Amino acid sequence: MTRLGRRTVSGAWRGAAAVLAVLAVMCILAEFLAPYPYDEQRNKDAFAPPTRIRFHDGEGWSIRPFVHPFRMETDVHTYARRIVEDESRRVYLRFFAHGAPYRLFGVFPADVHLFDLADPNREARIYVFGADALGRDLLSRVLVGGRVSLVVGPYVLLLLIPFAALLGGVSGYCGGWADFLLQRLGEVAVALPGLPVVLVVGAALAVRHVSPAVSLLTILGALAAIGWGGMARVVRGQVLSIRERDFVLAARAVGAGHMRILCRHILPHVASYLAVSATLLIPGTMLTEASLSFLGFGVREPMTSWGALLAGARSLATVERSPWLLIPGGFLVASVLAFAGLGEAFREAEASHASGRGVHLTH
Amino acid sequence: MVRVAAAVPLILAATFVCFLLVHLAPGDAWTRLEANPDVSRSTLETFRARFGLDRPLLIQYGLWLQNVVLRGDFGLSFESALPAFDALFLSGRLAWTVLVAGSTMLVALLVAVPLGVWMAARPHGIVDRAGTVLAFGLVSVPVFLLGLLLLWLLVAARVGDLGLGVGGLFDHRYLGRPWSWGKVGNLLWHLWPVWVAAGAAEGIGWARQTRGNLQDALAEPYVVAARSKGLAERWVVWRHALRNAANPLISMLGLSLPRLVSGSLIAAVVFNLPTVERAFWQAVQAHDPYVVLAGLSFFTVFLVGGNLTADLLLLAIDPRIRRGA
Repeated sequence: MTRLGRRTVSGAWRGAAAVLAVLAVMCILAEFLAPYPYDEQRNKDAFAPPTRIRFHDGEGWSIRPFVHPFRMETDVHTYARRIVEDESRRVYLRFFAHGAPYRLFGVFPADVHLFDLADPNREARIYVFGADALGRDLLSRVLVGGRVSLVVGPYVLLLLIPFAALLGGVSGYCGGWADFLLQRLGEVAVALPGLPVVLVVGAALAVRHVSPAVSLLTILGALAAIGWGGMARVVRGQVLSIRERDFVLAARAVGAGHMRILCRHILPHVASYLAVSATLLIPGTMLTEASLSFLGFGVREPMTSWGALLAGARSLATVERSPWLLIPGGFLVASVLAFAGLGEAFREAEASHASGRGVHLTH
Repeated sequence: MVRVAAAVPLILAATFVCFLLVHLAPGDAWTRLEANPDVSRSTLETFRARFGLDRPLLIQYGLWLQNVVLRGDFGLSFESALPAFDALFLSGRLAWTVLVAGSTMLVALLVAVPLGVWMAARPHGIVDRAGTVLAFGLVSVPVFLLGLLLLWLLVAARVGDLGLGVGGLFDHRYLGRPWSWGKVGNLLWHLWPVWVAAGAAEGIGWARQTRGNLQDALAEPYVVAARSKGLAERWVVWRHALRNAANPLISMLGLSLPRLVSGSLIAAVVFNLPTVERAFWQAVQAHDPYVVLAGLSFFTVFLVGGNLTADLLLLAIDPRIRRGA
């Protein structure tokens, strides 16, 4: 990496970590930050655009932010949805308002929301990011969907790393028929077309009426089952060279078992490679989940994720009329970018660390 | 030769996995076929016998393979009652897939290599820095989002007023018309957003790869020798250094294939392209097992074949590898 690259990337990792931390906190506090439950439907508010928060109208200025209550009308000719604001009325925002009950962190019962409208008859609504086709609050859905989107990458890697480390390690350490078999298995995994295969798995689970959560976990498992091949191959190569080193011989001489040598003496040397390549794989995994959900076979209702939310913008006519449905895409790109920056910073740290020690494990 | 032979069991094993996956979904697909008045009793019975539907899965796979290899019979589409092969590949779908995917790859390559050369020629220049930033950015934008944004921009730019359509491969007025220059131009107009959506991220990756390889190559003694002979810089870069920088790029092209497959699948859905990928997606939605299986096999063969081609290409252009093997 060039000097310029190093400076920009190393400085950027703090930014990346900060972005991820903020997004994670927002998603954890989703029920508090958003005024309405993510699955509450108000069909009359379908395709409501983001509500304009105002400080000024015909009657003059106001220190308290307010909105004009609105209703949605359907054009009888084009079926386009149109917003009609009642400019004669002001409904003020109220902060820390009591609203729909929820459980904070899934445990503590609460009903305080960061903001809501101070409407005595609870009729007016505020949609900061607009509403979707069923009149659900997009802000709430983005925050709740982020829980899935942000966790997907790390989760798949938690499944994949032990898998790749152990299979690659055994393959390199034992050699012989086990090596041959595992290598061929890895080649098959690499030869499978990833997205189409996971698409088929997702479709099969949908027909089998598996619950959305189990279905998602299975799909992610399938992603891991396909993805281990490449990583295992590198681990195998590294183990091949490490197992000839003196300390392995020493361990064998004092009578350590094969499994112990592999797990306690050899694999720790591969750990930094695993950590780095794992982080570098997160963006790709997140994008695969998003694409899968976008195509309709990843995260299913009532669960949601940023990719699944974007599926609502699949038709050109919808995008044209309701561009705010693309907002989840901004969150997706920001978080993927942040993970990519983090991975790049890790890789550089590892590279400079390795060259500092004078050890080159890569071939 | 050994590698070509090794590809066959690989494809067999991979298609077997695909076969098992497709049969994960217990279907009422068969019932649907039985309920289809277009399908006669005798067709049903022949089909059942030929694919051994009442026998164990392993034998079913064997029969499927036998039918595919010997007769080119991929089974039946339960949706359209056509042979699965026809439902997936015919009515021009295969040709469009080859055209769309091939042109995407070609354009990405044609942009990536000169861009990489430029970046290597002026390291830390404005193009180089922009390329680095762009590479990070584009890798983080999913194909479908890039596609949606392009469509949205095109619609927002009111290209419709210029008489240009958005999505698909042609405007309505060209559909079903014989080929003409206008039609080719219209096709290109519909193809460029696909190239950008499906090829930009890969292309910028290739450009960065070219830049890195070329920089390494330019530091080699033979480049110094060539320069000291008084050769023009252009000649040194394009004829001497770039040829050596090409090898890792070819390996990388092979590694990019899976992402190109998924990218063109998503682009086909977003842009409504009449390709194999879109037919595959529709078959997945309709739970049409034999068409899905044919599609998965198609992608597998493409991936294995592509990697094999990359390997063979490396052998062909780099005598050092040939001697080592």
